[in-house]
Order: sequence, then structure tokens, then C-alpha cells
Amino acid sequence: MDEMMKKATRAALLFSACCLLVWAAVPEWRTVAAGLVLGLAASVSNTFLLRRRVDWIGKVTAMQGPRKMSLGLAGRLATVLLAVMIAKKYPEQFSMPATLSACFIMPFVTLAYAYFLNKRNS
Amino acid sequence: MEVLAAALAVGLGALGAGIGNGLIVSKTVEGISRQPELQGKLQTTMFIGVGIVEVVPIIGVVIGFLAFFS
Repeated sequence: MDEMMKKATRAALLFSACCLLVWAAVPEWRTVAAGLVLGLAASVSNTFLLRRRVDWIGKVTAMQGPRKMSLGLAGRLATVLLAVMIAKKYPEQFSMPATLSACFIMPFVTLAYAYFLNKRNS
Repeated sequence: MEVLAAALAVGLGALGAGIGNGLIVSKTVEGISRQPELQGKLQTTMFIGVGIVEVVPIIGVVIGFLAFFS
């Protein structure tokens, strides 16, 4: 999981750098690029929250800990809602569709990396 | 009508994701209990599965909020 997370985070950072370049170079696409960066930040933070929670569930299961566990969906939901509400409050700076679509990039990037890693290893 | 749309989006999305996440976590916990040496692989699979499953309710909640507040 660590290798996959590192590669996915690196890809997200690369994509945000490209978006920042677009933001600086193309004024017409400024809102879209800013929205993508905002959504990506929320997506990366969500992925780290989920990874921490999955690690915790594994530890609790291995150590026979408490039976009540949660995946922390509310925290991740609140992160995405925060990003979307920022985009809604400042529509002249952030594009709402770009923010919303970028909020869900990381799960698919992780899935793609896992597929390729699995194919390489088998 | 907007309230009904928001409620349907949030409720149906949460229902499906709840069932899906419950199945994923229960099977992973079962697998870790049976074969603790495969914990890393099972956790990775669970991480990917939960990430993909949670996209649907999050989109539902966001669309519900947008339909409700605008």
C-alpha cells in the first residue's frame, strides 16, 4: 500500500503542478485550474485519511481490539463538502465542475496503479 | 421537489455504500483473522475497494447539498 500511495501522491502532485502552470500561463483557464488544484487537495487529504483508517482497522483486527469500528466516512464527506462550498462561495476563482470532478481523482489513480502493480508482479 | 431529490440522492447513495462497505470490511477482517500473514495485501485491496465505493455517496451528498441550497 505504501508504494501505491507514494506513486499516486506523486502523480497528484505532478498534476497539480501542471494545473498551476496552466493557471499562470492561460488566463482563460484560470478558474478551471484553480478548481482542479482545490479538488485534488481535498482528494489527497481524503486518501490519507482513508489509509490511516484502514491501517487502524488492520491493527485492531490483528490485536483483537474493540468490536465497534468506523471507516470515517463523515470526515471525508466533510472535506469534499468544504472544497465544494469554497468553490460555490467564490465562483470567480474556482470552477465548480472542475473542483467536484477533481475530488474523485485519487481513488481511480490508486486503482490504476494497483492494476499495473498487480500486472507487473504476476 | 428539491428536498425530495436531495433526500433520494443522499439516502440511496448512503444505503448502497453502507452495504458495500460493510461487505468489504467484514470479508477483510475475516481474511485477516484467518491468515494474518496476508494482512498487507488484504488491507491494500480493502483500501482500493472502500475508496471506489465511497465515491458514490460523496457525489450524492454533494449533489443533494447543491440541489437543496441553490
